[in-house]
Amino acid sequence: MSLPAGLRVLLVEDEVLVGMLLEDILTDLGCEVVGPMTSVDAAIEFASNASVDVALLDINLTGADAYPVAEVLAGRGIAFGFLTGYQSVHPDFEQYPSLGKPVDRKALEAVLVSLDPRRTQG
Amino acid sequence: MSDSNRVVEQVGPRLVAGIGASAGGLTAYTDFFRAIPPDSGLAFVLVQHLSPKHPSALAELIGAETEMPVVDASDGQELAANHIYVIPADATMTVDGSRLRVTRPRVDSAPIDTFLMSLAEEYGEHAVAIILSGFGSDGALGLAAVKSYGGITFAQAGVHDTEPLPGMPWSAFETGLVDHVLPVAEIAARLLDYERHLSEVKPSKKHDGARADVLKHIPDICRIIDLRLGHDFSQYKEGSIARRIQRRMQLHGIHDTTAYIAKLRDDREEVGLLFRDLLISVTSFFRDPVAFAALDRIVIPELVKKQEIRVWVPGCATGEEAYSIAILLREAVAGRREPPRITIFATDIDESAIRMARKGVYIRAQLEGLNSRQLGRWFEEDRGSYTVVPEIRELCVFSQHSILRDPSFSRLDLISCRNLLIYLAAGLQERVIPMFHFALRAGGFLFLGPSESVARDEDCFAALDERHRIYRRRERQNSPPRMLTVRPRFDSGDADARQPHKKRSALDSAVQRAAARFSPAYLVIDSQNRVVRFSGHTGRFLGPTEGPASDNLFDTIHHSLRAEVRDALRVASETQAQVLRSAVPYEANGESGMVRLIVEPIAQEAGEATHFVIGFHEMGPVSTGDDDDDSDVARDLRATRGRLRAAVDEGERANADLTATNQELQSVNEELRAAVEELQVSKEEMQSLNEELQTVNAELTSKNAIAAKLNSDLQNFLENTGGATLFLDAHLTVRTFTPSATEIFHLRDSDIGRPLAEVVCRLKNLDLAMDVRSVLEDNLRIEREVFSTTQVYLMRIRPYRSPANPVDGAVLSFTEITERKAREETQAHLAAIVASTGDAVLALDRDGIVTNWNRGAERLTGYGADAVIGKQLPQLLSPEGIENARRIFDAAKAGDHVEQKEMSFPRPDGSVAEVVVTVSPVYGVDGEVNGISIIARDNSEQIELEQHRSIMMAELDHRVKNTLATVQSIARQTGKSSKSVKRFLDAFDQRIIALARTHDLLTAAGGTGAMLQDLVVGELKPYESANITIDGEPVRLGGKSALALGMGIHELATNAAKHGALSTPRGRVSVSWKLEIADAVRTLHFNWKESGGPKVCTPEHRGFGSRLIEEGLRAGMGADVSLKFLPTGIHFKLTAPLDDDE
Repeated sequence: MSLPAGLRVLLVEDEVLVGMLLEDILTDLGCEVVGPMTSVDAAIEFASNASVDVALLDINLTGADAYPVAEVLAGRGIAFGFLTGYQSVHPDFEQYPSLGKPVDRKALEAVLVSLDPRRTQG
Repeated sequence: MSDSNRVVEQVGPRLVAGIGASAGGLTAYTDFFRAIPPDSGLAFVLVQHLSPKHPSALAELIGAETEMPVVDASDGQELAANHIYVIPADATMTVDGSRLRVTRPRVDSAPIDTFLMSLAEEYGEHAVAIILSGFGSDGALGLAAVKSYGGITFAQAGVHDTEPLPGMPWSAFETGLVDHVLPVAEIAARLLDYERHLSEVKPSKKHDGARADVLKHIPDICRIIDLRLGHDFSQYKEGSIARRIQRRMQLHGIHDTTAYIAKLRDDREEVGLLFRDLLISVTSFFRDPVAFAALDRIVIPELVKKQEIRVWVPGCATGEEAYSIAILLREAVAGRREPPRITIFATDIDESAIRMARKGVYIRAQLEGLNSRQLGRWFEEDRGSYTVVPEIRELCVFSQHSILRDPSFSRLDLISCRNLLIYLAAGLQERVIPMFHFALRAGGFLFLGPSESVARDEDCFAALDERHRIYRRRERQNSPPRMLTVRPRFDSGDADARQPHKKRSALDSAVQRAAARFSPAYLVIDSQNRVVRFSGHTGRFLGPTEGPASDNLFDTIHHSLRAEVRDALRVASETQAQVLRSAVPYEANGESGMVRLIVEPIAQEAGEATHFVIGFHEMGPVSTGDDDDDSDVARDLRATRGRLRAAVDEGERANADLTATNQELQSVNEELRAAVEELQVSKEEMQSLNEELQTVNAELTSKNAIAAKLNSDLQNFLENTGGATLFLDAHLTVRTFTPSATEIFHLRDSDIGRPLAEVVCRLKNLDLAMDVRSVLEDNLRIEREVFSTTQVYLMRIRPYRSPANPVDGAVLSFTEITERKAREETQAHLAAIVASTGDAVLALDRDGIVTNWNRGAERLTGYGADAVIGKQLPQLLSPEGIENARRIFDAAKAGDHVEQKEMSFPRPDGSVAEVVVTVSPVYGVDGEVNGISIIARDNSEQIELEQHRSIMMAELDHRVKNTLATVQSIARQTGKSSKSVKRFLDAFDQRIIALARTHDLLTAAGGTGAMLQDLVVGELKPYESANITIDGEPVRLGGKSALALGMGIHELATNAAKHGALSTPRGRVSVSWKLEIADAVRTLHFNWKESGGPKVCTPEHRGFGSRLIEEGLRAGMGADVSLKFLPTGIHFKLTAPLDDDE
């Protein structure tokens, strides 16, 4: 099983403590974390410009949802997954992987592996 | 048979039968025509008594039963033999000549009567009336008309019965004028017999329709009637009697008159029937209108000047003439304040006619002489029959009375005797007119029929209008009243009584014969010694006595002859033979002479002499010679003669005295006779009065019987009517009451006559006396609800009307409406609930038509009640809704209850009402489902709530999971920095509690934010005793900021308590913040400054606290954060922009 080490991950999560948790886990997995972004605007800006391999998006960002961010990422061909307390995502984005909260480290790792652009290339 | 008759015979029917039946009479019709051959020579007209709207298929149905042509009658159609004519629907049909007259629409409700009356008038004895089964009484009057014009009449009996069927046949039978009551088939057979008989006897009839052989036998037949029934028709006109007798013979199919007489002798009933037929009369209102107009112009104005008017109508039949006169009189006195007392005695010999007259019920055709105003004013119409109003009815007194047998009425002002005298023979007429003279008051009037007159009795009556037969009573001297009670016999042979002129000429010739044998000098005297004839040359024998002139023989003849004549007359009278006295000496004018005296009785035919002829035959002078021959004898003779003369003179004187006495006695006798005549007059007046009283009595008895029956009906009604009714008189005393009235008033039978004020009433708040008075005074009607302690009544007060007085008291009626009232209240309550509920409540009938649509329904569906009631509900539903609705409604119609069914209802604006319906069947009084009731509730709010709830659940799920992720993070961070499990647990607990505390604050504020002050105070609460200052204006933080800053302050406080200012008593913590507002951007400046604690040194590696404060707050709040570990203590500074909602 190839670790997702070395991946540059854009993290969008408005909950401070949850963001710290994810940062810790991703760091543990050897990923480089960009963020966490706590607002949709900031996240879109990063998603449009930053050089990242994959992205993890919390759907609910202080009342606004993160789908616009997802659209930008999809437009750029950047793989991404959702992190959410909701049981379902918007039907338009059902094909993308999603992770529930609290965070299951193994599941997160598997999602990252599946999203890893190097895996499909390799 | 005349030529013209033969022509009619070829084309026209021999008899025309008018057949009346109602719609149900079809079987009767078909049975009838099955029994009639197609060549009977009769024409048949069917008149149905049915609703004018009812289309008739009669012609078709009967056509199937007979070979005769059956046609729907049309106007102007000629009646032909062997045809059947059917009255069209909604038409009136009559006969005019030999043509039918059909007019539409039907104007009266008695089409059978109308037709038969015209048939009777046009066809007379060739008319036939047949009344078959049917409801009501149509046809009875028409049948009577046919009979009275000489036609034949039938009424239908049951199949094996002799009783007439109920309804029309029975009503016809009740007139007493039905000839035959028979089952249908037998009617047909009898009708054919009748027709055959009629054509057989036709050749023997004279031009007036009377048969010679019948005329011959009239006296025999009259004698039988007189013997059996005591009524004498011998003085009636023979022609009319003959026709009636022929009619009876035709009915029985008897051809030979002697055979009929034999039947009369054996069959007592037939005598009665013939008697009835002889009395039938034809009459109508204002018959002969011109004559009545003359009566109205000439007589009525005179009559109404009197205080009392008495009228006699002999031979009144069924009363039309009497009522006509009553109407004229009533109209003439209309408006008078004190109208005269009017009594009209109307009499007839026929009891059944009098019965009909008393009823006073007529049909339209009989009233044609009346104008519409009179019809409306004097008659009450009820379904085509007209009843004389009481105002007219009460003027007339009807009674059975024979003008020939019973005493007359008296003191009359008018006698109207029309068309009665024509039935009487001349001899009887002569007696009737003087009787009328007696019966009338001075100046009274006599009104006769057009072919009657008083020509023979002109000294009794003077003509006022000869053309219209109006006469006035003339005053006659010495006219003793003559009654008609003497009844001459047919076989009396008293020809002289009827031939006074012949009597006189016979006397003359007899006298001439007797006198021719003697000398010319003679006298004729009657039995009273009155001289009725003188011959020539009688003067010598006469010597009138002094005193008043006299025609008495003994006052006239010479006194010297009186003794001898008196004696001879006596002998002649006794012996009834001639008496002859020779050589009777007499003296006259100083001469003496001898005369032969002859007295000859004269009898007319057999019997005693009524007259005497006294003849004087001169014998020459008395001889005075021969003195010489026999002087002695002569001397003696002279002496004797002298004595004789003296004796004779003495006798004469005595005789003169006796004559005087006799004259005195005669005058006394005359006086007595006058007294007797006066008594006779009084007696006859008494008889008249008695007759009148009996008539009035009979009338009163009949009225009394009606009143008793009505009273009994009323009594039963009052006792059985459920309602409480109280009758009061005009003085507010109790007149009577129904048993139920005792529930409301304390009443006993003995209270009748007590004033209302003394009667205790159970009703509350009611001034009955005042109410009743207002009814009495203002002629009002009161109707309102009144209450007792437990009951509610509907009270009605109406004026009590009596014929004499429009308001003669009051009638109080009470109907208990307690239950109804309660029901009404319940209903109103329910209606209010239905109207006010937010739910839609609607009702449909069995066909799905909307019958009720409340405001809730209007609100929910968007359709107004006006737009929906009367329409099919499915029309308002969507196509898929219709199927759904039909299933639900069908279930409800079958009696099932449908609960909570969801449905969509399209609103007119295009939106859709989501509803939940409950559908229940509604049962009618017959227990059948006659509709359904629907309650629909708006379901859209419920659906919204559902959606909201699921959103909430998802949100809650999300938050819980986020919170768990937060806890996961805290656990991980705490774990990383804890050296032992115990420490981990302590720190973890504290952090979780801090997190919870912030959540508390957020929840308290509705989950949207928390006050910074509360956050700070909450986190520092465990260190209350420490030296802490908190200073800042109220600032509200959003949820995420509050959670982040709350956790940050918790980390600062726990660090201060472990290592910093709060770990020593001298240490101090100062917390302060302020809000800066610039360019609509609010910025929070927050400071945490510790001092006085242990010396601080910067930690070797960043713990969870520092990381949270530095990274978390920066990321979570977008804040500038500075955390300085100064030697005097930690200084934490935060500058953060606040969102608008913070």
